[in-house]
Amino acid sequence: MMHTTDIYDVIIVGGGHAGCEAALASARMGMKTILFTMNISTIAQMSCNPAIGGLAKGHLVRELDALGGEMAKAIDDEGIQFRMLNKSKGPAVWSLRAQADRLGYSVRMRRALEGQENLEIKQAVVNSIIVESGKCCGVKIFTGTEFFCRAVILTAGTFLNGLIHIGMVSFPSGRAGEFAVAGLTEDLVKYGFEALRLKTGTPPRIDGRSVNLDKMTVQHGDPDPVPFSFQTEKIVQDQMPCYLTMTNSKTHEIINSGLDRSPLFTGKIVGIGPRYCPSIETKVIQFPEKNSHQLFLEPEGRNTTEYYLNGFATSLPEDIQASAIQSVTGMEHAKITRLGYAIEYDFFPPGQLLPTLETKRIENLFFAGQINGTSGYEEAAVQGFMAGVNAVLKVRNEPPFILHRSQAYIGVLIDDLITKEIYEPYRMFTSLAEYRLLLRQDNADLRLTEYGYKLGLVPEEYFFKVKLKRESVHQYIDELKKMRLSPDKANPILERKSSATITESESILQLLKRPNISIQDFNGIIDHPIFSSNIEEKLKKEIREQVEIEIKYEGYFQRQQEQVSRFEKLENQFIPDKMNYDQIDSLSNEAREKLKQIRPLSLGQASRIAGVSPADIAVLMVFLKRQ
Amino acid sequence: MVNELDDTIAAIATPPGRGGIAIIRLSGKEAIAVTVKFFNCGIKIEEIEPRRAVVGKVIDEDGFAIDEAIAIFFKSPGSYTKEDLVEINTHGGIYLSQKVLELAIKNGARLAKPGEFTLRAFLNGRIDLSQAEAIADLIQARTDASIRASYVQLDGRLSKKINEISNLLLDYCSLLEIELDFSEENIEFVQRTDLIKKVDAAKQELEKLVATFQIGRIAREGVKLVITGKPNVGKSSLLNALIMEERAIVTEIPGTTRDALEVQLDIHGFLFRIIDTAGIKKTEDKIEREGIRRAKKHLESADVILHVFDGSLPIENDDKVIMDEIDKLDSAKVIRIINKNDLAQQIESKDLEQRDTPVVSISALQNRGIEILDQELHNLILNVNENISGNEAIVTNVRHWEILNRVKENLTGALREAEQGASSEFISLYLREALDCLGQITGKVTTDDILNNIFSKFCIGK
Repeated sequence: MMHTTDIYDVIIVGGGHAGCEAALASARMGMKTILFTMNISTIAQMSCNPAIGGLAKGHLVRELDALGGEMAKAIDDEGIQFRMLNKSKGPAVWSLRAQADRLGYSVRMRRALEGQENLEIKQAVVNSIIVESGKCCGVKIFTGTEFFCRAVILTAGTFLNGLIHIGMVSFPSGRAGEFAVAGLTEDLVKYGFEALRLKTGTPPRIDGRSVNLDKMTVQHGDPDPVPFSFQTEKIVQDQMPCYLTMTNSKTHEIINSGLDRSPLFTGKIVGIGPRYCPSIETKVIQFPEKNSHQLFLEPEGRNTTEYYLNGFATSLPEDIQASAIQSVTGMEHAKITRLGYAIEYDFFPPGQLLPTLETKRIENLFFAGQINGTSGYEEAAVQGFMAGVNAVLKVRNEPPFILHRSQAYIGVLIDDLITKEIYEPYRMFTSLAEYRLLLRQDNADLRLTEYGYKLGLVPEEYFFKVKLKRESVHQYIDELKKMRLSPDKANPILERKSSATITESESILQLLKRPNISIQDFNGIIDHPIFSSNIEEKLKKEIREQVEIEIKYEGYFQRQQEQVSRFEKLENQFIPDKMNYDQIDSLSNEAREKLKQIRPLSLGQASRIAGVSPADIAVLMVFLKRQ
Repeated sequence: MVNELDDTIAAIATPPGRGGIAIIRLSGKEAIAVTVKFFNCGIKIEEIEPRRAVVGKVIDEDGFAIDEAIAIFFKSPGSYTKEDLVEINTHGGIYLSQKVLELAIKNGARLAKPGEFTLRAFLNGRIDLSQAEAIADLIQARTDASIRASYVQLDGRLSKKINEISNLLLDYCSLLEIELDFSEENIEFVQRTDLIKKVDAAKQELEKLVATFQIGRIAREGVKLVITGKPNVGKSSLLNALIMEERAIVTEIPGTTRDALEVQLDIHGFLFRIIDTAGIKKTEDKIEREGIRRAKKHLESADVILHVFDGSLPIENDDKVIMDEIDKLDSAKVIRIINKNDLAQQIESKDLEQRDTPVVSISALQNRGIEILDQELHNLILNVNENISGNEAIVTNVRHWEILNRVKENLTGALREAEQGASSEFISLYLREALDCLGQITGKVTTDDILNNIFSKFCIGK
């Protein structure tokens, strides 16, 4: 059998959002890395929505950026519309979202990979892994050639036994127009891995020349777009609008008439789909009282007239898709360029993973992205990055890099994956982060850049900039604490803002705690750099923003910080690898089974497993202290 | 919530029942600091000598000394748990020991979970390995039992009520989370006025529940029966007649009973805590005045009041003062007793008859008419019993009471945020903590529950 003489440090199987971040992290950390993809032309392809970020997902992208990932910079270059969502809420739940130029993004990411030292890209299908004495040490590709390495990261997306459904037609495919991968799941199952099926779907694409956009509501990006990456100074490119229209009772009638040929409702599809991203037919059936649903036409890119019909994910037959769409205002003559479809695919329930994303069953084998049951480019990318970093640390025999729930959304995501049972494709929500008031997108750099720097993924110069930012924020807050404002100076401003006036001089810090008073209200009347009216530089703007947020929400942050301290106490009580739960008679049977299956690393993780009661935790605690 | 390891815990160490003394034990960093907040022994905290019995007064939240007690302070590591530890020896009785425990909790301790003192003793290395195995079994058995017990103990009505509140909070949490996680969806968001109305209603329900701890207390600790009257009408004689043993000091010098005296008595299978108080009258005597002040305080917390008159004397101003005092209280049931019916009578029953207040004529000294009083008490018990087994949910468990109080505080926080127009995540901060607390009674409420609720009720996903 043929094999290459080169021995790689890390092999990545898959060139999607997880695979790209994994490969870049590995190569940037100096590892000899190779990435296999079935099609080099579709590297970092956005299979579904041409957009990055969104509520909670924007947090993930910023965290990834602070750690030294690529996604934020790529979307900053290739975004065609930027919006900060939830601006009417508090800063903790603001989130960035950008429409992307689909092809542009893919090319931009491919350029990053091709420009990366230590990184080889190869077009090939991987059919099996090579395992020696319980350790993964390579992969075998479709030609039979073997590639050896010290760690393998599997990021196969929806390609494993992918099965596309359009009406009653179904065929094997990993994504529209691409082959599925057969054999790799079966190979892994042979080693004892459990594989299950999930389902997801995508809406049809529409020819922009066939729709009347004037009949729709136009939706523009923010006038002053904020970049994703902390290191991007400014978004310079023009933005493109999206368009909003609505379904109507006629549309719903047509959809209902096609249900007898719906693979979803005739029982043809067995995989479970995401409830937060239902197909249009699911929405119509489950919420019959709603006679209209929103549809967004999102541009596929700058150099195409194609639109993505957000809100209309479907696997209905072709004729129903076409006539239902033509019943919508502005789409009376709409032509479908690509049909909507549902896809079923294999995933490996992520309870089989360690927090490093290494599999428990086979050493040096890592899983990241959609094969772990997640959905979303951002969720995939952060997993790819974390798997990449941890594969490198494993190869180097260094301690792993694990983020806690109290440190990052990334920590919440991975802990959820390895601890909870996954019933549907997992996506990030802010409500999943218990400590979300502290885990903001605006402070991702302050929270995480130091880790990225220590891993060698963030340049020193930028790290020092973040350090300066942190120090300035602390220093300014201290200074504002001491500065007082007299009534004659403060009251005209307070009056203008309809805020209660003061009779004695008041500290500026106290005034800034008032809900409708901001730093900029005092511009010019206080002699301090933060009150300068012409702050243009991004760093200075960010410092001012941080100072303001820290002052305004201090009380809430303290309350959350107390919750974090309680959480960390249990989190820091580790459970040894070789814990024999059968020896502990006092555990309830259900808890014992769950603990044996998940093998939590800490008491904190154990306490989050469904079926493990506080009593079981007390018993575990006793045994741990005995060690 | 699982066990915390470095906070201060408290529990009654002696078995429940009517022993001569009860021991309340506190352990943890703040054990001594918490104790001196309600145990007044006149020694500064830094001068307290370890392992020496100290006499002092247990002071309740209103500043009254409710018992004279002995405390023994242990400094870490020289204690059973190897932490700072205090043992307070009080007079026996469920009421008093519960009261001291409540004081400890109100002053910063947390109610210990079953086996938690032993657990700490082990964790801090006090107990050896071979014992640990047994303790683990013990803890498991006892916590399991207690969790189940406290869940089962939640009778239908209480669990129904708590579930109602929990579901309401879950709904509003979901509505708030929708605003945060699905703000791009075409969904109408919850009106703040509606949220405030509903959460406020839930808070009031909780306040009612927390208040039922009082009624629950009757079931748990018995009926508090207070004997009152002006001096020398024979209150202590009545008490003696009731318990048929010479326990209270009976003399003819007015004002002998300067402090309250408590006797526990089983009447028709129901526990009565009978409190004989000082006679109430105008006086210059400082000590006597203190006794009278306490007597009035007891009246306020009484379930049943026996107001004793001296039938051999006409109704005097002092009698009327007390009647007015009792009229001000709306909670207690009153029985008026004309004592000394062995002497020539100057008061007749009809002089005292008023609405549903029964009047009983007796001679405490000659044990005459006591059986009629007994019958009246029995009637009252039936009433009280009906209250307990009626349709109202009642909180009887200190742990539940403690949790519900925390829920209440969080709802107050949520309402404050909502009224100030704060963004949803800040209201949610409090509502979710409230839900977490309720989860300790009804079982975990997780983020998944919130999301499930959202997905089942709202059309999400564009």
